[in-house]
Parts: sequence; structure tokens; C-alpha cells
Amino acid sequence: MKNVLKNHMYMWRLCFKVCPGYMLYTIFDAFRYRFMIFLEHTLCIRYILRCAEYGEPFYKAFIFVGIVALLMFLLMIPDGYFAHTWHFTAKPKLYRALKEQMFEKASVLDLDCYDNPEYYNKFVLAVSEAENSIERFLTTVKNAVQCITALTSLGIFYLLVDWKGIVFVLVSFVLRFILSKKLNKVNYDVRLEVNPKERKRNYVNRILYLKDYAKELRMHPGVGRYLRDEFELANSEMIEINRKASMKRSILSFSRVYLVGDFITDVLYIAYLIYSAAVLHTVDYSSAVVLFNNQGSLRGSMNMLADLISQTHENSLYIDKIREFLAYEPVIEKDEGGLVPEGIGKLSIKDMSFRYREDTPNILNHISLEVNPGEHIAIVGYNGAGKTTLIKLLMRLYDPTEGEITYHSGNIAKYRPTDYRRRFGVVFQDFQLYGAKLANNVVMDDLSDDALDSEKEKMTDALERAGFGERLKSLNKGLLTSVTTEFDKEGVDFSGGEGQKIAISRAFYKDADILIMDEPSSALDPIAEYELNSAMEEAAEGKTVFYISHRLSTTRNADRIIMLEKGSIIEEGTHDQLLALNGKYAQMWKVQSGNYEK
Amino acid sequence: MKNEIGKGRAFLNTIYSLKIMWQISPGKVIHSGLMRLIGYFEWLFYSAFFMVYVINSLEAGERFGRMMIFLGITASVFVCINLYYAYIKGKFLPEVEPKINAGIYNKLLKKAVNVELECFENSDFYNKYTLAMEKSDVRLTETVDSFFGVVFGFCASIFAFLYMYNVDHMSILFILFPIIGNFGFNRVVSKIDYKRNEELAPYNRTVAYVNRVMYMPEYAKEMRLTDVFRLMKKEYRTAIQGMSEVAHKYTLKSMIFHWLYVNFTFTFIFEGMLMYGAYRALVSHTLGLAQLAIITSMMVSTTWILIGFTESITASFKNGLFIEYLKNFLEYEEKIPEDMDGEDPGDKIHSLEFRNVSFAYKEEEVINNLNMVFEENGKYALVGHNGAGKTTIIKLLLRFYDPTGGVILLNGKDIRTYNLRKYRNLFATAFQDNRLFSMSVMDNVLMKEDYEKNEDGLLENEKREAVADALKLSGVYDKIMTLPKGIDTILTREFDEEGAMLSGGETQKIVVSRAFVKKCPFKVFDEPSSALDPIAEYQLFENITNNCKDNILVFISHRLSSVKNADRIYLLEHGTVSEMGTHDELMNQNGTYADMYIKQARNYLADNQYLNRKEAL
Repeated sequence: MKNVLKNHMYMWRLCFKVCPGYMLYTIFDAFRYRFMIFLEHTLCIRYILRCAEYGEPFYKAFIFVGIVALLMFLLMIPDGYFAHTWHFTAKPKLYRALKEQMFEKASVLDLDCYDNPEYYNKFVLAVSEAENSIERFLTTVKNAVQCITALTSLGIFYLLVDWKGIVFVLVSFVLRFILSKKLNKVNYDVRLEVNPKERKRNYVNRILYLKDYAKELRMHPGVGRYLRDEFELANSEMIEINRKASMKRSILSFSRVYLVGDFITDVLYIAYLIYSAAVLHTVDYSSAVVLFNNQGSLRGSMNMLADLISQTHENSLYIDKIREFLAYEPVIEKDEGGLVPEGIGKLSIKDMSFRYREDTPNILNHISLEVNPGEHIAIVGYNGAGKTTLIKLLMRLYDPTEGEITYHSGNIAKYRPTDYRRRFGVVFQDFQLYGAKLANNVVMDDLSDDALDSEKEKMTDALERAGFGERLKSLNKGLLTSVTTEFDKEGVDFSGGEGQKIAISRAFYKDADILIMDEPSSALDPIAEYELNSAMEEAAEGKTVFYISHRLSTTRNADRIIMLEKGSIIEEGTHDQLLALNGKYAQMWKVQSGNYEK
Repeated sequence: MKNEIGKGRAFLNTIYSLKIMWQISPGKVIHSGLMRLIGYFEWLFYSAFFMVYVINSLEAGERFGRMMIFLGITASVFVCINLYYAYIKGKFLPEVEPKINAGIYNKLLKKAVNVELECFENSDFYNKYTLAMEKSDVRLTETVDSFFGVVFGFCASIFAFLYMYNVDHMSILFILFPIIGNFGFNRVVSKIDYKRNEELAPYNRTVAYVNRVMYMPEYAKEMRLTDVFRLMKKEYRTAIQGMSEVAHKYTLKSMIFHWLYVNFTFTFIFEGMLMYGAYRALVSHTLGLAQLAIITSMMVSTTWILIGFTESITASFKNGLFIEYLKNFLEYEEKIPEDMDGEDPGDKIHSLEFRNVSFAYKEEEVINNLNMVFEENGKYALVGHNGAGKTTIIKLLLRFYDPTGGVILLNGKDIRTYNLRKYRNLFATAFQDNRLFSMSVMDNVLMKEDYEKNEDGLLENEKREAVADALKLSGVYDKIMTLPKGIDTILTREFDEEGAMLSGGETQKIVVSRAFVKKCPFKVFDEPSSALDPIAEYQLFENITNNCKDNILVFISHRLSSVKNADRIYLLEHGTVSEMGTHDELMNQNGTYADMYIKQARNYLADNQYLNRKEAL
């Protein structure tokens, strides 16, 4: 309970700091809404009826109703602004207050967190629930204020007019609450049983209607029939599960809604009211009418209070997740540490081992490697030998489990990550394009108009060197072309090969000390691959380069080739040295080149 | 307005959804109507009839006992009604919901697996179709419910009007206010809402996009290595700024109409009626206390009945567009229905020929006057630039598309004359998009080929052997055997926490096994080795050539060394065959193929051995 309160206070502070006016008005609005209903439906009607019952002069009624009407006219003026403008301006700001914090955190989350499915799921949940959490919090605030307003105003009214009405409502409320708990338990048990069936159902749905699987399903109609039978089966099981619970559920629902609900208020309470008015004469007619008409509201707001408690608990669970996420302290991605000395330096790996988690086997085993400035290194090996992991460690996306990496003879863990990584130009096999201008996709940063102008040549040059020159000329808007058609109908969806060239131009633009190419040519046809390799040879002049490729033709000219197997360096040397060694590399080479040689 | 449809069509669509619902569950239609009817009855009963009786009796000094009898009768009627509610909520609805889901999705999914592939690739069609698929059971139910909401809401409103007219002729005038408020001003407010939302949509899309980029793992590396985060932050802030501007644009207009709407719908009738009633009761003395009480409570009910009625109308318009998509999809006439019947193509292929085939996709020529022949036991390779049309040819071959010009002939006959399933059954294909299903390894390889026809299928142990052989050929058998349940291991973690997650290369090998295991005359491998290391790639090509001796074999590859041994190589450029022949023939032609080959081979051939020899030729 204490935690629930603390979490709600946290949200309140967050929201109040960004939009204090909006938050205060939200409270006022909830109060206004309920209080006006009380004024109109309870006080106003009773006043008029009493006037009629006791023959009061008309002007009294006129003034009373007139004042209420005037109040409505006035209050509805700001209400329009609140409902139709303020919501739309304030809410995005509230979302932003939370989401920018989360984005900020996400951008410095250690990459390791993405590999841990448990953590990653939590993280996705936190991000995707951010807006909903604020929405839920606002609803809770609104409901709480409405609840309190209604309970206080109606409670006082009943106490003053005839307090016994409250007893009826209260008894009904308590009994209903107990039955609700029982019913919820039944529903929850059913839910637990139904959930896996529903997941199956959704899976079949997705597979059969997404285009990803359409081809396979057309080649193998048996799978489609099988999945549809599974779907059918899941649904019949769901029906069966519900059938088993139906008797219990029907009885509970009848007791809850009628026996302890409508029956107490619509039959017993009315009987009491009629008795009081007709036999005892303790309640006048007008009051009887109003008391009867309002018992629904009183009951409703009590139920709302009961719901409010479970609502806050649910909110709290989500807020916990968000706070937990925001409280995460990155190990690597801190904005601290020294600056890297200027200029290209020597990179050394000293007896480095790495595993993802304590209980998993080593991915890399005692790797030692010295790379001189300007040296070109090729890393080759079978699938799963640890090539990409080695590269990620070099860029300090992970920290080694044992051993260390030094650059300019300083441990890279001592440098500021952003400054260290500035020295790298990287082309991944899974590069991404972003829904922004082409220029942004080259520079990978926000660009002011001035920067766009002054950097124009440099960007064009980078694109040309990546082999994108011809395509760039064919684009009407040149560097200002929108990438993807997601936000701009005139945008361009570039093909895989074109996208790869854009990704490569980033490395050229950046003018880094160290270039890393992770299978950059995997999606390219032979001509494009050839062009790319020539371009890269030129760009790599005077830089340290790491190449990963399955195509040994692209790596053969490297100054040194590192052959990895099961996380260890098993062979190392120039192409000729390794051929002479006649080991695993030579075997791979022969297999691949053999077919060309005949 | 593009998201709303005309009244006539909305009505027809509603009738359509009633028809569908009636087919799935007549009970749901009947109960849905009955629930609404009783709901309105209850409302009118209490505010009109019940109230009148009690107040009149009180005023007339009726005996308490008689009033209790009336109350008792009322109570017993409502016990019945509530028993009915309990049955509906506790039993009927929970059981009928899965039934509706099964009913509608059975229709949709049956259609989805029967339409031609192009429907999935045409984004206009696909977007509408995914909209139709989304929560269609819920929306269908809503449409039926709101239909009865409109019907009985209308009846209830009329009844309420007549009743009030009966009590007091003048009071009917007050009802004009909520009518104007609801159907006049509120409509303007919704139009403003709609326009505002339309203008906000692009900003919302940007926000959703930034959100996605921030948490999807594929962006994580670049987010850390570059400053692209700043770019995303900027886009996010710009979007929020834009939202605020849009909202302010509509402020004045929406404030005015909001004021008019609320006061017309609630204040004028409420406070107005009270004053009018007070006047009649206190000044002209033409209204008794009982009537005054009735009028006030009826007036509140009438307003809410009207609001409920409007909401039902809005709801049926809202779902109208969805029903339209649903209807269009279900009534869509397949160009190549998957269950298309025709001649039996037999189980031998002597020849398969593309004759002057053209194919345009969205008016863009992808394949252009293409001629190709595949003959019994021949080994063929398709090579060419990215985007030269290789994958499209495979899709035409498998009849995922029909050519827009020319004809494809199997054993001399247009493939369109054959039974489609039987025709496709002649082919085994390893697609390059590598999709696994949440089934066992064995099922993922066999792909339920003999599902539903067990009698002539293979025996269990034969099947297992066949799968094991296929897995060995694709080179993933050893890996599968390290999994706890071997070839019975479930793939993906969709349903099974213990399910196996395979790497890209392993996944590719499973997909390739599908093509190995199937007994059929024609095998297609589309870039089967793109994720494999050199040794695995070499092994795979060896196995393909050795094991498909009795098949027609077509493969697509960027690795020209692996296509060298083909009987014929087709080089594709701009959607047509620009060169064809054996490797040696093409090298001698010294055209594009030779250029590609030399560029790829250059680095493999030390000391320009190859080039020297070529000059010597």
C-alpha cells in the first residue's frame, strides 16, 4: 500500500512539474463534473418538488434554478478549452516528460541488456506502457476526485434527510464486494486456462495472414490445414473451459447483480421509503422521490471506490516497471572517463576472454592481438566462431570478462565511451536506415540548415565513394530526399543494395581512425561487390581496418588474417603464410577458390 | 471524408454483418436484440410507469398492503429478467465469444490462404485486409449490438416523446434542445475532432516510429555508435510541437460548439423543464406534484436515451468502414485461387518452358519478353544483378503470379490448365526468407505434406529416416541431435519455453532440408547458402548436385563458382535473358557473365593464372 502511494506520488510530481495548470484543472474538472450532477439532480429537483409540495412562491424556484443554470453556462466555457485543446497540448508533453527519460536511458543501456530476454521484455514493456501509464494515472486521479466528491456530497445529503438510506446502500455494497471477489476468482481461473489457447489462436492468425509466411503456405497447403485445425481446436477448448465455469458464474453474477444489488435498493429500500412516507410520515414525498432517484448514484460511487483500489494496484505495477527501468545504472555507457589521444594509435587485445553470462560457456578464449596503426586485419572463420562478438568488444559494446583491450596504450574502459567510439566507422551486415532525410542518414545526427549547407560536399563525396553517386544524381531532391515512404509520400524506399551503400557512406563521412566492415557485401551481386571492394580499398588508406567476410577473395589482401575457431585464434598470418601453413585457412581457401580454378 | 461512408452503404454493411452473424450464431443475434430491448424497457418502466404508480398511490393515500403487492409483482418480473441476464453473462456470452471468433476467422483464414500471393504484396490491398482481420470478431459483435441499439433506441425515444406529450403537450418542445444539441452541434464537434485527428496522425506516426527505433534491438548498436539518438530526439520534439499547433488551430471553433452542445443537450432541457414545471405547478397550478416528479425523471431518462441512441449511430458508422473491408475481402474474387481445379499434370516433367513471358508489377515491367526452357534432369542456374528479376521468375514458375503477357508451358501445355495444388506439388523450393513454424523440427522439414491423408503417407519410421537424411544433407543434423528432443524438438519459443532458438545459418539449413526431403521432379534453391560459411556452403552445393541427379534443378546464387557446373546458366538483365549457355560458352562470349565471373574470381586466382589462360585461348 505504501509503495502504491509512493508510485502515485512519483507520477504526480512528474506530471505536475511539466503541466501544473493542466493537472490542477484536471482535479477541478472531476470535482466540477460530480458536484454539478449533485446540484442539478439532487438539490435542484428536491428544491422544486418541495416548492410544489409546500406551495412556495415561484420566484424562489426561479432564482434557485437560474443560479444553477448560470453556473453551468459559465463553467462550460473553460470546459471546451480543456476538452478540445488542453488535452491535445498537455498530454503529449506529459508523455514526453516520461518518454524522453526512457529514451535517454535506452540509448545508454548496455547492449548486454538486449541479449538478456528477461530484461529486454521488461524494457519493452516499460517503454510501450509509458503513455498508458500516464493515461491510467490521469484516469485514477479523475476517478478518485469524482468518487470523493460524490460520496461526500450525497453522504451528507442522506445523513441530513434520512440516514437510513445509507444503511441499505452500504449493506448492498459490502455484500456485492464479497461476491465480486468470488466472481473475480472464477474469472481469473478461467482466464489462466484460456490464455495459452488464446496465444495459440493468435499465433495461427498471425502466421496465416502475414505476408512473411504466405509463400511457404502456398507451397505446403498441409501446414495451412494443420494450423487451421489447431485454431479450431483451441476455440473448442476455450468454449469447453467456459462451459465448465458457466453454472458457477451465472449464479454468482445473479446474486451479485440482483440479490444483493437491485433487490435491496429497488425492492427493500423502496418498500422502506413507501412505508416511511405513507404510514410513518417521517419522509415527505419530494424527499422520497429524490432519495430513491439518487440511491443509484450513491451505490455507483461506492463501487467506483472499490474499483479504484484495484486500479491503483495495477497502475503501481506498471509504474514499478518504469521506475525500475529508469533506475538502471549502465556499466559501460557512462558519460565519463578520459578523452582518447588524437590521431590513430595502436590497438592491443591482451589475453581476453568473454562470455555473455556467468553460466554460459566462453564465446572468446584468451585472445591476444596487437594491431599497429594503419594495419588491415581480416577475421575469418566458421559460423559461430565469435567473429562478430570480437568486433563488438573492440568497439566496447561489451566489456571483456577477462583480460583487457588498450588503444593508444590506455585501457579502453577508461575512456569516455562516446569519445572512444567516435574513432570507429562501422558497417554492419544488419545496418538500418532511418525515416529522415538522406543527409541525416549519412551524418547520423540532427543537422541544422547551416550544417546541411556546409557539409554538403563532404556528404556527397562520402556517398560517391560508397558507389551511390549515380543514384544520388537521379534523386530530384538529392541529399534532402526523404528516406522511406513512411512519413513522406515522395520519399524513397531504397533497395537492400542501395541501403548498404548509404550505410557504407557513413563510415566514409565520419573519417574515423578505425574502419570495421562486418560482411558489408553479403547482399550484393558480384559486380556491386567488386565496386564496393575497390571503393573500400581506397577509403581504407592510412586507417586501421577490420574486415569480416565469408568471401575469402575480399580478405586475401589483408596485412594479416586471423582465423577464429570456437572463440580462439587458431591461425594468424598473411594469406601466403597461412597457405604455406596448410591448416584450416588453407582448407577453406581451397574449397572456395577450387571451383574458380578449374 | 475518407474514413466515413455514406448512409446507404453503412446500412447495407450492417445488414451484411447481421447476415454473417446469423450464419455463425443465430442465438447471438436474437439475444443481442433481446438484451437491448429489455434494457430500454427497464429504463422506461422505472422512470415512467413505476414512478407514476408509486407517487399517484402515495398522493391518493392508497393502502400500504396494496402497494406492496404491486412492488412484489414488479420484483418477480425483475427476478426473471435478472435470471436471464445472469444466463447471458455467465454462460451464453463466454461460450459464444470463441464461437464467433472461430466462425469469422475460419472464413477469413480460409480466404487468406486461398488468395494469390499478389494480394499480400499489393500494399493497398494488404493494408485494408489487415484492417479487416484485426479484432474482426469484436467488431462484428459491436456492429450487431449497435444495430439493435439504433433500432430500439429509436423506438424508446419515440415512446418517451409520446409519453411526455401525453403528460404535458408543451414539454415536447424542450426535447427539441437535446435533439439539436446531439444531432446538430455534436456532429460539428465530431467533425472537428475528426479533422484534428487527421492532422495529428502524421505526428502520431512519427512518435510511434521514434518509440520503435528506441527499443528495437536492431537499432541498438547504431544508437550507441553514432549520434542518431539526437536525430530521433529532434524528430520527437518537432512532432510534439506540431501536435500543439494543430490543437490550437481548432480551439475557438471547438469551444463554441462544445458550449452549444453541452448546454443544448443538458442545461436547456434540464433547467428549462424545471422552471417550466415550477411555473405550471406554482403559478398556473395546472400540474400536480406527481406529474412534476414524473416529468423531471422522464426528462432525465429521455436525454440519456437520446444520447445512447446517438452513440449507437456513431458506433455503427465507425464500424461501417471495417465491415466494408471485411465484405470486400470475403467477396474478393481470387485471380489464382489456391484450390483451382484443372487437369492432373501427372508426376513427370519433360519440359517446362517460359515463352515470351512478361510480367508487370504495379505497371512496372519486371519481366520482359522472357524465354527459357527447363528440361528433364537438367541443372540450371539463374544469375544476375540484384533486382534483375530472378526471384520473380521463381514466383511465376510456382504460379504465385500469372504472367501479364506470354505463357508458361508444362509438358507443352499452359500451366493455367492444370489443377493448381497438383501442379505446385511437382516442385520443392527453398525460399531465401527462411521462415520457421512453431512446430517440431520434423514437421518443419516435412511441412505436414501428408496431413489429412495418412493412409497413403509414409510410415512413422520411414518419415523419421527421410527427415534425418534431409537434415544430414543440409548439414544441420548434428546440431539438431544436440537438442534435448532431437528431431521432435519444437522450434521457436512461441508456445514452448523449452523450444529451440536456431541461428540464422541453422535456420537456413532447416529450410533447405524441406527441398531435400520432398519427392518431386523439380527442385528450386533460392540463394541457399547466403548465411553459411565457405565450408558449409561448399558441402551444401556438393550435396545438392549429388542428390538431385534425377530432378530438374534450378538455383539462384551470387557465388558464381557454385553455378559453374550447371548444364545451362541464364544471365538475367532488366527482366530478360541476356546471355545463356554453359559456363565455358559464356566465358567465351566475353560478355557480362564473363565480366562478373572474372571480377569475383580474380582474387582467388593467384598470379593472374586464370587471365593468362584466358588470353591463351
